[in-house]
Amino acid sequence: MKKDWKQTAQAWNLPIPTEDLEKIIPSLDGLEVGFRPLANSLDASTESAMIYKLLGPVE
Amino acid sequence: MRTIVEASAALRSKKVSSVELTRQCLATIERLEPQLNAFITVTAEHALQQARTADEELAQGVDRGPLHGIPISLKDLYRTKGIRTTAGSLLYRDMIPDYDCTVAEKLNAAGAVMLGKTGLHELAYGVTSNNPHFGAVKNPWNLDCIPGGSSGGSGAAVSAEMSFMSMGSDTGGSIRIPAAFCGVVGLKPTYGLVSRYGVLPLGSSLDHMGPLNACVRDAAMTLAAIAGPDARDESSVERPVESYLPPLNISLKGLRIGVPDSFFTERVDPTVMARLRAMVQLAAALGGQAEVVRVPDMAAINLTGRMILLSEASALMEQHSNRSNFGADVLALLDQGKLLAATDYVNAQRLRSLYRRQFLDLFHSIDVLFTPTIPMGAPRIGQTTVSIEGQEEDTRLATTRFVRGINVIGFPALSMPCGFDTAGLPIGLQIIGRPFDEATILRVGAALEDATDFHLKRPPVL
Repeated sequence: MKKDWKQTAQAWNLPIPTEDLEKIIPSLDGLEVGFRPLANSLDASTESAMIYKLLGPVE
Repeated sequence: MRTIVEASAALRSKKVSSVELTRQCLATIERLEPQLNAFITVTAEHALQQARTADEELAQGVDRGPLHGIPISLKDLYRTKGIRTTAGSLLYRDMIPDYDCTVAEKLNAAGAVMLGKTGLHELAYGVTSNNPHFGAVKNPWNLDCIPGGSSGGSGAAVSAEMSFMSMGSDTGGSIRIPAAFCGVVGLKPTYGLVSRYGVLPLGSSLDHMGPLNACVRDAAMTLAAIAGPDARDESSVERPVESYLPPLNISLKGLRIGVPDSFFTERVDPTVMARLRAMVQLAAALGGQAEVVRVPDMAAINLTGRMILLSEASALMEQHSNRSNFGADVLALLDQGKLLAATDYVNAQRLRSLYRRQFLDLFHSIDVLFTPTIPMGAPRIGQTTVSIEGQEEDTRLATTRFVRGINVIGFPALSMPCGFDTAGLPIGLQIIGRPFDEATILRVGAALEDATDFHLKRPPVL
């Protein structure tokens, strides 16, 4: 399902003027179409590349 | 004299002084800056003072290494104590840092002479260096063309012999792109090898610091001076600094060269493709073993990289709500990032783990991967689309197509001159290596450079 970027901007209260929003919608749509299948293909065991490591004193 | 290799030897044999080298660079800057707009700030007095100190030290037998007394410059993203650092942005136009970034500290310790701060795409967020606040940087090979970006001033400065080396930063190709478009060498080291501390960030998990140089051995010498662990950078890796300097008379015997079977060979200017093939053949003639390999899904990796960068850059800039502070193209990217979901950013970082593993698997069977740096020569300033093989493509996406993914995986990559297109504009070869195996990509680059003369060609502006 296509995302409604104007509605998202409104719901999140983002002060993006309509004419600026119109210009970026094609790019956002393209990103969404390409990225959604990738995100949906992820296995639950796949961890983020950004892992928090707690560095403390060595015991 | 345009390389650190030459200048360093001349300094030690007393054929030239650091003050003379610095005056030579400053004179070139004064002559060409009105045409190129490569610098935002020139620090002539500061440079001459540093040069005098370098000469005194060398005369007393104090030798800080190959960069001692060499005039260099820094992209205006690197914080420099007491010297304005703008990031090419209105947000920082009057910022005078009270400390040096780690790279500046290391270059100072190495005795380098800082000529000034080079121009860039606004906030390092773009590939043209057509900066709405500080003017467009021009390409020394054709003043109507972009030098690439975001480290465009650094590429132009090295290409036009204004500076022996210039530090750039690379979040989605911003060292390698200007290197390719300006006909110089650009090195994006492995993520974590060179400290990011004190450099204004764009996409923290994608930002890499590295040099633009006149030749591959200069890049190796620079890397040795700037690499190393830094507790102030969370991503810094504890590894000893190696000697990256390639030897003379290099054989590539036993080297396994991967040549992609797809993606990097699609929608490429025929001249660029021909130059890639020629460089593969040359590497094979030097003893390397070329084999066609299947690369991971680069289109997917690029999408993932865009998702990460849009999110990280917008998060970073969120506090700056005054839209008039930004140029139109940067604002459009920042707006896009604000509309993305946090779940998509996290999933992009999860996909990144997979892609990194896939690339590590690929590098079990090869030592280096050869690709074009960019599918075409430099576009004209203001050109928003390019036509490659009859297909129209957004200039930014075409320019970053072969380089962005390497920031996602964090592997080291070198861009070096490998020829010219039909318009006489430089073409770059990208050599990608294993994590922390900069020594190999520099050795391969030096071998190819020793067998060609592309790096010796001088741009018409000179």
